[in-house]
Amino acid sequence: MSRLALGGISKRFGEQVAVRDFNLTVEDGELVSFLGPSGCGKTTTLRITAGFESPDMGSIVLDGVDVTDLPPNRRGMGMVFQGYALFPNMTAAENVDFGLSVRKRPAAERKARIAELLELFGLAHVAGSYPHQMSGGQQQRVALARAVAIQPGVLLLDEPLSAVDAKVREELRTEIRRMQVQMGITTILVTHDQSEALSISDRVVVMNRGAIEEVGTPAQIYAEPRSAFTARFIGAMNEIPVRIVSAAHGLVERGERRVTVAGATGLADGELALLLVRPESLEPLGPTSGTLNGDLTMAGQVEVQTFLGATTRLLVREVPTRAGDPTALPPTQRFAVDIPSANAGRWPTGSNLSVKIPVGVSRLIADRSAPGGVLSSSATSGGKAKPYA
Amino acid sequence: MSATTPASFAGTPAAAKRRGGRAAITLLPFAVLISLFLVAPTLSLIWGSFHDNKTGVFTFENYSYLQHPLDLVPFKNSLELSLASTVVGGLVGLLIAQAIVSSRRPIIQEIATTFSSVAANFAGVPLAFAFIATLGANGLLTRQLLNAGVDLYGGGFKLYSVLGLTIVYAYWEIPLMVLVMLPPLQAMKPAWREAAEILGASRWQYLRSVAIPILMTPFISSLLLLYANAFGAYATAYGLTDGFVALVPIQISNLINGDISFDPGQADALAIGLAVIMVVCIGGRAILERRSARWLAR
Ligand SMILES: Nc1ncnc2c1ncn2[C@@H]1O[C@H](COP(=O)(O)OP(=O)(O)OP(=O)(O)O)[C@@H](O)[C@H]1O
Ligand SMILES: [Mg+2]
Repeated sequence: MSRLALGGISKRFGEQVAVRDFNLTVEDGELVSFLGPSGCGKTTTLRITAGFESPDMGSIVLDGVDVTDLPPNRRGMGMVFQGYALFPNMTAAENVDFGLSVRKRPAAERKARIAELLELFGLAHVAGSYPHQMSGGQQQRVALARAVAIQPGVLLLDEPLSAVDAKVREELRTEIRRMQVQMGITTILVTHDQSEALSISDRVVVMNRGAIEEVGTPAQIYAEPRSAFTARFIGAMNEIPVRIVSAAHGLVERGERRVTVAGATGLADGELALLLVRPESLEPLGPTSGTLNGDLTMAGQVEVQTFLGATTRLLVREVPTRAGDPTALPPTQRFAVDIPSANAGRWPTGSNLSVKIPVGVSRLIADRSAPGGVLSSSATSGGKAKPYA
Repeated sequence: MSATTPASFAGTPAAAKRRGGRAAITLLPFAVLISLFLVAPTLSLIWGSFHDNKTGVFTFENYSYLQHPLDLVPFKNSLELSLASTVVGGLVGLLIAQAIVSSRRPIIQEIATTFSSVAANFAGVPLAFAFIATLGANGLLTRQLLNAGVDLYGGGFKLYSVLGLTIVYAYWEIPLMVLVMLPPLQAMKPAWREAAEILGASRWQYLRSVAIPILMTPFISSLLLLYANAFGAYATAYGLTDGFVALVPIQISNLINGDISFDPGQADALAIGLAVIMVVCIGGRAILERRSARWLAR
């Protein structure tokens, strides 16, 4: 049986629809992330689950019991707030103890549990410290320990890592995952950091304007996004203009070449569309490697090399094969190509580069939103997709 | 950024000395101000309180009021009046401040702050006159109540009594309390309440374990301020009673200005007594503030 079921949840604030028809079941011991741009309703959904907001419609079922009308203090959930919300008048140990003392557990049991949790989260040495005497990472751990101390049915985390610096953030997210697996706690994590969601979740719920866009494992969401929104929101993505020659036959044209692609149905002949391709899927062409007539290509001049570790990202300004080509990238935009860093020396800044566009792994979307050119966001820095300009 | 280069921060000892010198110069006006208006008067008070103002001989005589119950009446009255107006102002002010914060309307909070800072400073003769016109023996409200069958003065009420003065003092003590309690109440994070709630706490458990302990320090510190404020108030009481009420500040003034009771030495000694109470209040406040600043830092 599923641990938590959110059924048809909707919520509006005045005219503003914050959540619409949200359906999700979370299995026992699962870690599910809510991922989406700012204002898409992640926090609202989480607060409805916790009981701080009541939904206009829908139900929350915990372990088979409808808790929609229960106040937060009777839901037995744990929550970590964005700013931790540690009680400033209590030490780390007292904060962890709070839920236990409210439940009037025997003193000996409380003492043992506190010691065990402080140990588990590496906090034994700050047990007697007040929040203002602790670092951000320590406060964050105390907040986690406090939330799990009551052995909650579900653990809710609202952007738990947004207030700590990048290095601690990566460390802590692994730690959260380790703790979550070890204790087997069913967890919902709200984040707008895609690398965080992708790296530690069992499943990711991509949200857009209050609604679920798509639910899937991190690998599915990244490699086979079902919606254009997800494809553009997750990871870095090139958006390469093509012209639809025949939607019925999936025939598209770019520069002087034509290929057939999947997913052209619904588009109009003659219309411009965008082919979504990840930077690592664009294949650089060496002087010897030829292309078949059936392949799309693009070529240009390397403007910037960004070292990302194992790979290096090249930002390339396209040099169109014909002047006035409607499918050429707008002059202000660049396309991104990821290559193994070992090969970076072959394409220094200013050099020319041709790439093959692998049509098979690309996705075609209409150009109606018309940002045009290349959209991308780095999977390492997280954050919202922004066009390279 | 200033134009200073990082290198000059690491400067030579000579440079450090120059900077120290510059800092001293900027502090000079402040030092002058402090000596002129705080240190010098205090020293003169202390000196005056230990000398006979006619002969100039060293004496403890000015402090003899400490041994005579009758001479301590002004202190007793002042202590009582300050306590009463602090309790009334403190409790009512706290409730109003909490109501303002609960409204969650920034505009209400701004208007309340502005109004309170004006009202907290509306004291002295104008306030006294306003109260005489309203609650005096022939005041507007007194008359209307009389017409309605409630005889305030017949019932023993007097505006010039400690009870009457308490009401008058509350008029600025309440807004002062609102003014000083708004910031700590605003700094209470709603997430603390929610965190307590999701951990299973009832409203009362949250208040007892979180809100009250956090707010206790600023609350007591505010009461000390109210107390000091009431204790030192002079103009209102004087305007209201023409100097015929035995309060410490009024007594001091009578000893300096009075024809019959002229005795500046004893005035100095009384003022030292008043100063001690002020120092206790303000000192206690300073200690408490340091703690609450840490808890309520945003
Ligand atoms: N209490 C509220 N009153 C009015 N509108 C609200 C309230 N809470 C949220 N909203 C609105 O509902 C929408 C969803 O907000 P929510 O906080 O759930 O977004 P989010 O996905 O958590 O965003 P972020 O990443 O910025 O935290 C937003 O448009 C927000 O302005
Ligand atoms: Mg949010």
